[in-house]
Amino acid sequence: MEVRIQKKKEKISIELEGRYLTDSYITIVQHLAEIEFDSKTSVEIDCSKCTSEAYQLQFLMLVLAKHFSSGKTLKVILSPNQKDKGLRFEPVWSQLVKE
Amino acid sequence: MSFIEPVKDLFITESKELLEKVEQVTLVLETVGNQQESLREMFRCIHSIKGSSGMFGFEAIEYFLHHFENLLDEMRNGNVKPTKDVVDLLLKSVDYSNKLIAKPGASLTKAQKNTSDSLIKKMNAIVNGKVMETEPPKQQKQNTEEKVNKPAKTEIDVKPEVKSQPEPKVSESVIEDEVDFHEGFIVEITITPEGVEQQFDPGYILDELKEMGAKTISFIPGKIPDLLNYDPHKTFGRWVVQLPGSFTEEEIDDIFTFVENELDYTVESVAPKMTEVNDFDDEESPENDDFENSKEEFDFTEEEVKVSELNLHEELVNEEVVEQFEVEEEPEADEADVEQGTQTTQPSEQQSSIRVNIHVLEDLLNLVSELVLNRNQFMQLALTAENHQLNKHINQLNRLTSEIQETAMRTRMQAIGTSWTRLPRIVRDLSAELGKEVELKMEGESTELDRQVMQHISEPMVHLLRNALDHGIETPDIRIKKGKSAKGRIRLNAYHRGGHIIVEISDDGKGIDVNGIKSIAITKGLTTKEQAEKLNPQQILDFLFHPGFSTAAKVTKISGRGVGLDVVKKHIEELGGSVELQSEFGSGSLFRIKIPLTLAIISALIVRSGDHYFAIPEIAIQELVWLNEENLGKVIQMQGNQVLSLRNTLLPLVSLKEVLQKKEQDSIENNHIVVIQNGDATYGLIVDQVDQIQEIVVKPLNRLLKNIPVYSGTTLIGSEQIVLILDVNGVAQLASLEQESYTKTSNSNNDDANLSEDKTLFLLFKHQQTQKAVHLGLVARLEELSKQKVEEIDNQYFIQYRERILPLIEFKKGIIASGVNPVPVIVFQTEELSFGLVVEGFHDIAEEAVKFEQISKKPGILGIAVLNEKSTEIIDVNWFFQQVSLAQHHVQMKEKGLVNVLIAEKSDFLRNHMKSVIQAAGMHAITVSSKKDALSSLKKHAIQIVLSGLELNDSDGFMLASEIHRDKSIPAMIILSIASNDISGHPQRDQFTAHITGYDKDIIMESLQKVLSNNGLTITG
Repeated sequence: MEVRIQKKKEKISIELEGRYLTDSYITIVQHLAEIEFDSKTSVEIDCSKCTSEAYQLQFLMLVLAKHFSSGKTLKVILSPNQKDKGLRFEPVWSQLVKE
Repeated sequence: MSFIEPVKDLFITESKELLEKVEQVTLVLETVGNQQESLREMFRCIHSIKGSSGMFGFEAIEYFLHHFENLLDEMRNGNVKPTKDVVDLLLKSVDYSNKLIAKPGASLTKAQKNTSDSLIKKMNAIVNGKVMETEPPKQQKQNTEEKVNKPAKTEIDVKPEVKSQPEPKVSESVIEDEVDFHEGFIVEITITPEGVEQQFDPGYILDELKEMGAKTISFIPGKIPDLLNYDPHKTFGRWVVQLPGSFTEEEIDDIFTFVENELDYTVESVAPKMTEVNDFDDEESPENDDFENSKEEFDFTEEEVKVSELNLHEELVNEEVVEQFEVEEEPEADEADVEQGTQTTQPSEQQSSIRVNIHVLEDLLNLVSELVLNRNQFMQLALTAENHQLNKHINQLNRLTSEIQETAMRTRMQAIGTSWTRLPRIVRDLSAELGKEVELKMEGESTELDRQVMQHISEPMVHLLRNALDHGIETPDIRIKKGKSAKGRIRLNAYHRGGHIIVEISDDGKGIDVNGIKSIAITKGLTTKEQAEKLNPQQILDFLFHPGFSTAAKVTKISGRGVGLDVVKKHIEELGGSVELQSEFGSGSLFRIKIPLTLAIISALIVRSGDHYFAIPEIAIQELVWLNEENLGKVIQMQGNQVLSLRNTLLPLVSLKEVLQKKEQDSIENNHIVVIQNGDATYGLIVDQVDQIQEIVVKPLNRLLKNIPVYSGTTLIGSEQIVLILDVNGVAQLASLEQESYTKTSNSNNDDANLSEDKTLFLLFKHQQTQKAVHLGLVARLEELSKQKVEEIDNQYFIQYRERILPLIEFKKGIIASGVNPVPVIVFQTEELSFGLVVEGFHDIAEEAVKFEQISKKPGILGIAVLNEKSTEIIDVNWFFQQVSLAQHHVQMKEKGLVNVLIAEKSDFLRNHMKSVIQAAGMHAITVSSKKDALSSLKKHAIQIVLSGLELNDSDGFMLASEIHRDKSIPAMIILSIASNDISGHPQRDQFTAHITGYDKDIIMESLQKVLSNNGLTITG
């Protein structure tokens, strides 16, 4: 999996691409852990090019949501297919979108 | 032995046949869309295998096919469309089913289990996708609406408050609080680290539970770890499923049977409460609830109800409900079926065919073979016996044996289409892999051929098909650029032709670049540049059949390793067949396989060589030539080898005696030549005697003889005489006949006719580094004659040849004098005249359509054309005949002592005067008054000397002499009147051999005799 991180002023853009593998994932999260952000920062994670199973992404998003939760907003971008699949795990997403 | 063992093979055979049918129908579905009948057929097939699997206890197969069947059911009901993905899945499921069925009852390997899970997962996903579309639950409905205007990407905003969300309290009490059903289970599922590693998706299990009637499925996250503490091998939540209904725990366990390593699960029973038990007495009993639910789920229109009824009947048939009834009615028939393992077959099929073990058929065929041999022996006896009654019975035996043989052979015949069933799948998968669009058209599938032959050609056909896909058909973008349709076409065609099966595999792809093949052949050292230049395009294409030859720029897993076409050819030739390749660069290629119908009992010609008899398969024989006195003359020596000049071809000859017995062939007079077609080449096999054509039974060679390539089998003829069957290819190899030296024969079919239209065979010979050619049809023989036998008489060469004197003409003077020995001679012959053209050496034979690039004015040359890609002068044989005619006339005149003198003079008086002088001297005079007539006479008559006056009607003596000396070396004399001007200063005065002044008889004769004498002629008359 490739991870591209851009930080522009108060916005962090994270793009994940490829297949999720646990080994590379550790590297990814370490990258993310190093990013500085505050309550004004919005975070956008584009998973639409990820080929991992939807439920794995969902676990990842939960972890990321927790990590970035002090930010202003967290936006997760999914491909239609991921969303369709994700819908079958509605309970997971409901945890994320619950206000 | 368990009761399953005896029927296991039958189960495998039948199941594979059914799966084959499913595969075929699946491929059709992809192109034509859902077809009810096709889908019903697929469903029936899978259901039938599933039923059999269940009956024999092959649980893994049954389990997998159950899901397969579900998907087909949804398709049959129109809920799932046969998209490419769905078709892919169906085909993969067929493949997997085939693997399971190959070893029924065997435990699944881990890989098989993974495949099974993955496929089931996908099948369920599709089936459930349909459920979402038709009955979206509340939440899903909203999402479905979103899907209508689905953006390329979906965004979900997550509020930052996620962290501050209190983690849900997931306790037993919470779940219990939500449970509002009286009977059922609470199932909790978590993913094991192994499941995470394998990316196992629990969704499919959840879907199955949903299908069973799960009321709620909740994900209960555990403590979400911090980013840096997160172990991606572990998950931190679980799914809780409320499953109302009267299930047993085992039924739930069944769902998890194949995913025990990937998922952990617990099942907790929700016991019915007393009050609820009492409710059973009420009108709203669970059954009623179910009924109500059913009503909601199956709210059909009247029409749909009718369809459902039909389906229900079908279901009943498939579920064997109806069959059970039949069992009661006709128990005996069904028992018989069970014994034979045939169940659920159509009644009509039961009546028209039965399944017979192939070994039984083979045994039958062997017995028939023996019977045929026995018949042959009796027939031999009948020839010598003078017993009418015996002969009558033997004839009857002969007739019956032939009928039995024919019928038995029919049992071996199969439609070639049965071996083509996997080809559409190969085309589909490979074209997808290669990014090509290909349509496969199959014709003549019902063409029948021997099962054994079919087994042998199956692989070569697949190979040629893969070649066409990989090397032939271009990618859509290239095809469009070339003005072709994006979709390439591959055509398979089979048909009978004269005891053979012809199978054609053609494509409309890029064809074969002959120049490219030539370069590769040179690079690989298969030929030299010089040799390659001499090869015609067909010969160059033949390089493709050399071992290790590949034109592929890179090796792919599909092809390109250069292993293949040689093997294809070898396989086909081993069957006594041939492979032919035609290709047009840019337009496509065609492979034509020609194979015999059967291999077991063949028609063969029995021949004798020395004391031994041999059988030659009739399929390989083109014709027989008896070497009588007339034909004997057509056998000529060419480059040290015997060649038969047969019509317009030169046929290399092989003496069977020399090849097999290593004995020198004695006189071949009255022997026979069997003209053998071996692949696309022919040769003549010299045998002592031809016997008769017989139906022979091919028996395998004894192991001691197996490695001798000359024989392909043995047989018995007559009174138990063992005869070896010749392998015509092996004979050619042993005789070291190179492919290039074979006589190429023109094919008679239409396609070939187009290709060989207007083509002519030419004999090529070299002269001083240039290539010359002569129409082969005009050549009587090619000879290499001993120089010692060449005689020279008056600057003319002759040779004693076949009890005659053959005049020899050198193509260019000096060849014979150069010392070449033997002397290469092309013999031309008409009824009246023959001569030998002496050349520096023979070169080759070319078959090409001639287009003259340039018409030649050179005497003896018709013009220049390109042959074998080289500019070639084509000689004018008629011109040479004229020369010979003149020379022979010259000889005749000489033999008679006559000299022909041409007198050209304008003045009648002087002309007649000279004529009388010449005739008085015993010579023959021909008189003309013009240059034109003079030149014409020179062509018609053998003139030894020309006597010309200064003036002619249309020209003068100088011009005439000049014209004569352009291509002849006839001496010319000029007679000048005393009053004529002196010509000593005339620029063309040297055109005349002698000048005579005045018309004095003595002076004329003196000069004439002198000139004739200088030219080897004397006046004897």
